[in-house]
Amino acid sequence: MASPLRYRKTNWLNASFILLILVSLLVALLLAHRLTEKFIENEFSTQKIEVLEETLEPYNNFFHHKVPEISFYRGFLDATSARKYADSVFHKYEFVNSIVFYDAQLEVDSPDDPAAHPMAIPKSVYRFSPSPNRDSSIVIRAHLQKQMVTIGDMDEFAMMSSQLIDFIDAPDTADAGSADYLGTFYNIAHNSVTFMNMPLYEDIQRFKGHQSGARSSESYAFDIFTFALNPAKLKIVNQHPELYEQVAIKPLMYEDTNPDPDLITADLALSGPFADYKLFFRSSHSFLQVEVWRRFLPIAGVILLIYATLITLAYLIYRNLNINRKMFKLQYDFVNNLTHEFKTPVSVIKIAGNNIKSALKLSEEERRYYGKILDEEADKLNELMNKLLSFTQIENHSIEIHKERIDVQSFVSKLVNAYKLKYPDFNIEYSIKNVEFFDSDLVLITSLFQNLIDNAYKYSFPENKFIAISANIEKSFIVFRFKDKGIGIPQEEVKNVFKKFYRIQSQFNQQGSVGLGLAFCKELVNFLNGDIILKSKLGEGSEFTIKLPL
Amino acid sequence: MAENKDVVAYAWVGDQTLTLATRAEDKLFSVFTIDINTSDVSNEKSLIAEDLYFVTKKVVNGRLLLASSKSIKGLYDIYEYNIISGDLRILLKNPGNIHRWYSNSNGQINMALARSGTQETLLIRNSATVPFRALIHTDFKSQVIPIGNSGRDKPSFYALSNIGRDRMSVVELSEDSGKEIRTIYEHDSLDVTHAAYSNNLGQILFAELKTPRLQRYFFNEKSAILFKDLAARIGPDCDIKIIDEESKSGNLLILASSDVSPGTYYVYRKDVHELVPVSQSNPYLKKARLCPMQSFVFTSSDSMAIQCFLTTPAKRTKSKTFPLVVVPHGGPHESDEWGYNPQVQFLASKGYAVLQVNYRGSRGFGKKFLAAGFKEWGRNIQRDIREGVNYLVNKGQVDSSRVAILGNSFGGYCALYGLCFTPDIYKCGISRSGFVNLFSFMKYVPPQRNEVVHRYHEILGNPQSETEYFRSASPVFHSDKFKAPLMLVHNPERVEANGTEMSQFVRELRSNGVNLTYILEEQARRGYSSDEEIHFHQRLESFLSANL
Repeated sequence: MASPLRYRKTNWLNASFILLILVSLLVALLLAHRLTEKFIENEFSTQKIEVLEETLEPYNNFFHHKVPEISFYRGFLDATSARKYADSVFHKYEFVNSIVFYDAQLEVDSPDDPAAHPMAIPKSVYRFSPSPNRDSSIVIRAHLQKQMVTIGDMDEFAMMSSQLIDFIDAPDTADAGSADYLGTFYNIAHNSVTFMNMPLYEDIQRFKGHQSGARSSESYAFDIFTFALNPAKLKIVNQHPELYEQVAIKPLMYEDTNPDPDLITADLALSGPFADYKLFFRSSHSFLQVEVWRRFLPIAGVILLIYATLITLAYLIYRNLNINRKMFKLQYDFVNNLTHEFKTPVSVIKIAGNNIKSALKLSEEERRYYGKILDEEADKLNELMNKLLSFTQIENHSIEIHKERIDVQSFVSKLVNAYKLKYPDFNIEYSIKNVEFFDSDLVLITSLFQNLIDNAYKYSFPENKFIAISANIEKSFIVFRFKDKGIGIPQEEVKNVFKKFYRIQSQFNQQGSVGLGLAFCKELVNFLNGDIILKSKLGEGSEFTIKLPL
Repeated sequence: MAENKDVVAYAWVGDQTLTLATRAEDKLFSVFTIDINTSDVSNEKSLIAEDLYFVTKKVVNGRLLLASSKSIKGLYDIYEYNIISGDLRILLKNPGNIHRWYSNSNGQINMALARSGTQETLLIRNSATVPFRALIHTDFKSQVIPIGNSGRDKPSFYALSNIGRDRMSVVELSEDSGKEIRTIYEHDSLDVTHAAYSNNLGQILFAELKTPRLQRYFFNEKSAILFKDLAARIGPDCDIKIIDEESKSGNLLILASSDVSPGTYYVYRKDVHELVPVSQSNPYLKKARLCPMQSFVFTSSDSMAIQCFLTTPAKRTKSKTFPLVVVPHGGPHESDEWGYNPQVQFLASKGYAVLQVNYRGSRGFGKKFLAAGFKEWGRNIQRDIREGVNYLVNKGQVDSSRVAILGNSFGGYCALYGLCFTPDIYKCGISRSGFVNLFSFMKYVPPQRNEVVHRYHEILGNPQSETEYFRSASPVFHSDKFKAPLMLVHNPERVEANGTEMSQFVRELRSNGVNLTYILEEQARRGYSSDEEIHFHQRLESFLSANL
């Protein structure tokens, strides 16, 4: 029984569609929120490295640019010049607490003994500390003799100079770029960096020449600097204040003693002389939630926008389908009407033809009767077909306008007289003011008048068939008015009556009406660059106004 | 004959035979005699040395003297090469302080110059059998260069000397006391750069001075007439030099060159007074398209006369002023001279005016002028260069907004200094093997020549006691001051170069956003190869056209 082409109701479908959409929207929002949370958690653990890099940036600058500058001095520094260098360090790098400077040289005790080992002798040792406003240095201690250098200071010196002696004793195999080579000249320890100026190839040659017993008594002068660093003075650069509520430098083994379940923590070890410290990051859950919402809201907005677009599109598709369905119904009605319209004359012709065929003999009266019937019904068919054809032509703009000068008075009076003959019960009045001629296509204008006058006759009560036609000039237009006292059109239908195949259900068009008349009129007027306006009151009558260019 | 060997020295030892010295490998030389017709090589001997040259080109008793330095450049031993037996034996071993050997007209080494610290000593011996004795002591600012024997009764010799005077002059010195007997010629502002001596006549022919052009003061009538005649035939625009003299006929090989001519060689036939052109260096260069070099002198802000050369392009521009490239010479104890200079001509042909400044410290203008450059590398020398530029700008000859500075070695240091400390003058600069750190420069003194360090303390300064000056004058400490585009040509083989220092410098410049063109030159241990010259000048041209 179920046919695929049966009319179906869609209410349930619509409802379930909307439900599905809403459910999926909710799921999408929830998922987005969860993902944002995960993402923030992830960032919390990955962005630490950026904070670390940014925080250690001044130290790296110090280590890679300021410290190697010592090499440029080639061992020529003395107390005065070293102090100037120290000034510039203190001024720029706050985390440098103090500097020990060893003005040293390598010597050989007994130059004549080829087996003698070189000895590193610190000529003098200075300790520099920054002045309170860090723009200059204070020399706190000077000279070994005063015994004011700590054992620790001398440990550094002993280590660096033994590295240097090993380096000079080693055969010339070290690759100048290797870590072994470069590592000889610096030492990184807990909170301190020691650097020794790198000897030039010429320095080593000269000194070795001395060792091998050449006549010169050259010693190799070198400078060692030990920088005491204070990790507490490192400026923490929290590049992600939205992620980390608190960042601090803590000892490597530091643990939060009172872990609050609401707190999220992370840590990252520092490097180089600060390897015994770590960056400690801390944020509360509620703090991170703020960031989650800040990131989530734009995402939610985008999701909502997508769904809004989706629903709008669904609605538009639904609406188009609806309109198409209505269109389909109109065409269906039209074909129905048209068939009826054609059926009556065709069946009359068929009957007449049958009667003529079956009659043995046809009297003169019968022949005239049938002839009249056939003639009339053929005319009806012809008229129907003309109407259809011309409408299609007008609609497709496939006819040409043949403009000619029309005498308004004679044109209207001829038409009125013809209708008076056709419908003796039709009361037609007309008045023409201020106008004698206008230029237009006679055939099209005639067709327009016929349609409107026919309509006025058709949709009037039998006892009150009346039309008043007037012609006038308004500005550069000729204006025709057709006022009847017919059944009128309800206000809500006024805008529809000019549509193709549209008919108002009424007793006056039971006989078959195509619903093309007024649509045809509108097309015609538009085609002639004019305008058609309808004023109507139900039960009192209608007035059509046509404006055409002169 | 073996290919791929450079001939480093030659001497005619017979009508058809030559003795050649060739460099077989980096430190391996060979000395041999060759027949020029058959190319037959005989008496080949090998010698391991850094450098080698022939002390004389004259064979005396079948022997030729040559000097070679074993390990470090500058300390030569004297060898004797027997052209008949091929015997090569050491004649005089360098005791470690002899920097120069001098031979007399008999082909014997009779004088030597010893150096120790800032002191130089001229040694002399009367015959090859007696030891040298010290004759004259000088500090390194004064100099004495023996010219030849005076041939008088009282033993004396001619020399160029500036002992007790400002400028190198021709004098006669006593062989006994080393005291000056008389002054033969002295110029009022310039050093005598060369004196020609005739062994045959035992007489000085003429003295030469170089600025602004080659000038001669004649002691010998015939020489004067000869040069007058040559000048009349070749023209006054050329400098005329005698390259060699044929010993038998006295025919001369002559080179005539000028600022717009790389030179033409002539043979002058003495018997018929005929001058025959034989060859031309680089005949493809059109004389008309080369640009003349003009000398001018300006007075520095501390009233010193500074001599300069200006070469302006032949093509006139619409603006009437030229963009300028300053090319300070190296050294700094060298000097720019009038004559054909390929680099200057290259720049001029590209539309740039070229300024060469003989700033204080340049050689040839007397002792005071030379010493005025001492310890002024990063001060007055640079000011002289700046004032040279300003002088031209004030005269309206160059466009003050388009000045570049280009230099090699010390000149490269000047370029770096100019860009670093006077960035408003220079729009861009090019440093080729320029010094970046004066501290390091002090270390490049060859290890065996430690005594020279004291001399450098006078010339450059003492890095220990003048740390602040060294720091302030070394570009490596001031990489943050560089703003203008810089082309840096680094050659790791050059002694002044220090790889790690240079790479640090380059890194700092790059991180400071300097528009840096960095070129690493690989070979060029002994001068630049022509390929490298072409490559460098191509890069130079595009750098200048982009940045000047």
